[in-house]
Amino acid sequence: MESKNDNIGFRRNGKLKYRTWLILFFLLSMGIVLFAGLYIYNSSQLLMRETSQMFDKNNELTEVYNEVQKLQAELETYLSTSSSDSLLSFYEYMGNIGKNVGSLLSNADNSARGVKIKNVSNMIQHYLTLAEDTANAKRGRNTDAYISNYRDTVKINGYISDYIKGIMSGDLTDSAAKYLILRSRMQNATIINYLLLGCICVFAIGAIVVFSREVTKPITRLSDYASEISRGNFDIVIEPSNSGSEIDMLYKVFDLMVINIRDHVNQLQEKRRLERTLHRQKMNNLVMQNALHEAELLALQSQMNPHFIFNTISIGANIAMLQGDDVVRSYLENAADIFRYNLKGLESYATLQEEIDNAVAYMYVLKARFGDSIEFEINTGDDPRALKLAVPHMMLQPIIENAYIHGISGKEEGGRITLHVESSSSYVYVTVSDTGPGMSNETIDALLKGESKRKKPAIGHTTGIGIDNVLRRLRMIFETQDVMDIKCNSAGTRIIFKLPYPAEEGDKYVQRSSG
Amino acid sequence: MKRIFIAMSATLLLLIILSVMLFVDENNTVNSGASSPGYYIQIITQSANTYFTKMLKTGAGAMGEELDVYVEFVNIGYRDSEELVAIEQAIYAKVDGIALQAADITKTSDLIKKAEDAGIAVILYENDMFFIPEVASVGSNSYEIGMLAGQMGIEVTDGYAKTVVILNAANNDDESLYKNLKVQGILDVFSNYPNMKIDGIYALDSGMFEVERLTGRILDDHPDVSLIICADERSTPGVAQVLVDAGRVTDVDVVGYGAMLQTLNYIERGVICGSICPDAEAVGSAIVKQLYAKIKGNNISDYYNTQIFAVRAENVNDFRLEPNGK
Repeated sequence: MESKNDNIGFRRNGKLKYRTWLILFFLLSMGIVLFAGLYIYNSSQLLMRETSQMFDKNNELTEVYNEVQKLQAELETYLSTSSSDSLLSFYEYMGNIGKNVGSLLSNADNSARGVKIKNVSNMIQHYLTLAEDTANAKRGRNTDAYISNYRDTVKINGYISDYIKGIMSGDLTDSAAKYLILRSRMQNATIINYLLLGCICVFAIGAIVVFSREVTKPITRLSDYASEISRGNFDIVIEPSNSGSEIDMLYKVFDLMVINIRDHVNQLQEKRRLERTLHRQKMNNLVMQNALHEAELLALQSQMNPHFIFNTISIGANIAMLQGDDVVRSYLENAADIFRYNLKGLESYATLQEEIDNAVAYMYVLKARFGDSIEFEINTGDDPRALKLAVPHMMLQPIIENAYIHGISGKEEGGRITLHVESSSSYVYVTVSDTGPGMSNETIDALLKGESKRKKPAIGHTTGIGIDNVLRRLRMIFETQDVMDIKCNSAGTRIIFKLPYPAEEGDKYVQRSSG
Repeated sequence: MKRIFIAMSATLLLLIILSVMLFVDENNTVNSGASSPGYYIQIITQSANTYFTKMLKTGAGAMGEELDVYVEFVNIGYRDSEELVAIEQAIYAKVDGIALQAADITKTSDLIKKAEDAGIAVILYENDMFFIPEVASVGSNSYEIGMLAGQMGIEVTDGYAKTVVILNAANNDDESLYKNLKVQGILDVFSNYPNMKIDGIYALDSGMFEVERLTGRILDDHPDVSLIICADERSTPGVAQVLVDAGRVTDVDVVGYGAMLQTLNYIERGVICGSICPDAEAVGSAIVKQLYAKIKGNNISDYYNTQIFAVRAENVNDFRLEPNGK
């Protein structure tokens, strides 16, 4: 429902509606053309009227002149023949002349010509009276009277004729002068009319061009915006049209539409991003499971029953304790701890402290086995936050085992394995170094890229878990590739774990470790 | 957008104003001269081209406008019958008043009586030849004109001259000419100067071309003439021209009449010594004024005299700028 203002061509903000602008434009254009045509027509008509008036006046006088002459002729005929036809014609002419003279008098103005017309009209009226008296005298057989009157009518008729001829002569002179003036005015009027017509045409064309440009400009701009949006640019700024019409509303709605589309597209993009993250997590989980399965398979391949070994070693430790052999007891207790730790499974999490304890136990066992040819050095620092960090189970022990087997065991003079922990605000750095012969750069690259060829575990390995397995699990858990680095030189090999602290307390690592 | 509409509205307004102006102009043209005058009079004049007639029309027209009287000038030729016809036509045209210069006594008196019987007021102007009783007259005093002309003649000839007088008169018998008031005025002035003699009085009875023949005859008949007093406006330049052609300018002094442009030029060049000039504008004004009073039924005086000027070389330029020297 349109409001009252809408009905009379205004929008609610008091501005004219677009339709009203268009109607006004067409009405004004029509008005201009109409009045221009009217002016040209009227100016031409005025000149034509003046021309025709000039001739009409002359015709009127000529008619009276002719009728007066005919009247005189009929009077003479009647006087000489007493013809009733002539008398009838005489009275008929008298009636006509009377009417025409009345018309002449009523139309006569107070110009010089008008005064002359009045003069001759009065003469004619006097003449008509005298002529009628003459005819009556004839009918009354008053011979002397009609002869005398006739002489007077002849004289006055002559005066009238001369007077009318004088007026006509004056008219002719005036007409010639007036014609020159009229011709000049006509020429001027023609020039003015052509100029007016030309100006109006130019003005109308100009107005149409400007108006159509003004009308289409906001629409063209809107079209450009639409084109820009169709190319995917939703960040354009829609400038308001300020045309004060429905176009303003169109711009507002279009702007709102662009904002909505932009929001909708952003939502879609966010959804896609989340889906990609989810998918990546799923993939990580699958890889994790795969790594665990692989580790378990490797454990099975060791063909040992950890429970049986653990029980056996525990009993041995108890026996050694009963027999008072503390060295054997410590050895067996450490070995039992190692196996017990192994029994927890690879899928679980441990704190860094637990991993270090397990590594220490393992080192003790190695030390017991190989005596002074191997030295261990442990420096765990004093940052309790670092030691509480959740890490994958069996992270350090395989590394230390590798350091011994591939590093030191081949050297007759033995060697040293160092475990060093230090932390920064964002990371915990755990370094396992040995004084072994090291490894080639190709091997290091292959290990870090996860491209090392899978080999059967070497003899003496506890679990068969290699560096690559540890590395994969670390990357999956911490969701970053940069978790481990290997540096080699003539002094040995250093494996450096770079473990990030969780972003917030109660993060997934803590939850996993607690689970 | 608004600027387009303002321009279009202004154009439309301009066209409407132009159309309205055209309409108003047309109506004004149609209604021009619509005011109807209170009375309508005719002034019958001879020789429309003289200075006297032009100034007469000016004065009469101005007074007519002032008194709301329409003044029609009927120009006639020099035949007496034309004036009689004009008077009769005016009677049949039922005008309110007629002013004329009498062409004769008998016929003009009859027509004046006929006009007055028809209720038309009649007066005479500049009438110094034909006395018509009981008809009021307006104009300069002919006797005074004669005196001034004679006085000017005495001045230019130092009181010693053989004089010939030229008059504009229909009846040129010697007895009537000597009764002419202008001649009477000249004679009266000359009577005090014994050496001022009038050798002849001549009358011009038709047209402009008569003067050349007449002046030639005067020079032949009076070879020792030293002063010509011409009392006719139209003839004064003609007399001067004949003297120039005959090489008699230094021998013969001329006192003229009226203030035609040629007369003024001859005065400036010294061919004509001076001219006596009636106040034609005042005559025209007085004609209308007197006729108006008569039409209204008021009594008017039988004679209404107007001023006379003497134009000389000293004041001719002032006279040229302001025709009556006012």
